Amino acid sequence: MSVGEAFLAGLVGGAAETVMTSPFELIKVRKQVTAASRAPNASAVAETAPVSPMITKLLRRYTLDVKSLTQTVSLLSVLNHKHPNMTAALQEYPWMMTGTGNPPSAMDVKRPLDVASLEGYRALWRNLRSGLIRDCIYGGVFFSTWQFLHEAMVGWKAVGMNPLPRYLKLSIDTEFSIHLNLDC
Amino acid sequence: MIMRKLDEFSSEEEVGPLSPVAISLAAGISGAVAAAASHSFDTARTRAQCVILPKV
Repeated sequence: MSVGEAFLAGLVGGAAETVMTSPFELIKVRKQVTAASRAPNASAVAETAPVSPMITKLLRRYTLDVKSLTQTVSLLSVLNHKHPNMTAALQEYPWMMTGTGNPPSAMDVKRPLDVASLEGYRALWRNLRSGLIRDCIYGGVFFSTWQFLHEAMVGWKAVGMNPLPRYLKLSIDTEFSIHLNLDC
Repeated sequence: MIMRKLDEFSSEEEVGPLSPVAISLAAGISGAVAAAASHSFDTARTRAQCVILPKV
């Protein structure tokens, strides 16, 4: 197998790897983020409150940070007279599930079922393009470099053999005859 | 014709297996080169995986 063939094989292998391992990679990265983050879990320190049934359906076991919601509602207090119960209305809105308008952090969505219910099961394969580029480059470069080194090591070992392997002897004879022909 | 003759002999069969240490070292070097080449794309993918987008 040539170095070029090894590169192509690595590209194809990397693409297949991405499609098969993308969901596992997503869950792994989110669990790593949770483990590496210094910030304690929001529900462990802040005053929390149960969320609306709709948000529970989207993300089970999620609790709302009351402080964030109170701050948001106070920011919007100038509009209070236009809505009788702004706090309840905001809590019904999925994008307000954290109380600030930001989506939940990666730490809160790390179980496969949570990803499927909040983001949809297709999110397990989201950003497939960047994964494809990464794994294709990795596979191609890895296998072509390995093939190059393997050929070099085989050649190195063959040179030290006595008698010389037939393929090496033949290639040396060929080189020699080509040089002779050129000289003539 | 000479090239065809060259293909008839397999270098692997005649030279024999390489040492496991040498093969492991070659694999390690290849992995390091590949990791360096794909590092920036790896970063991009990992960051994208931490973005949460509710479906509604």
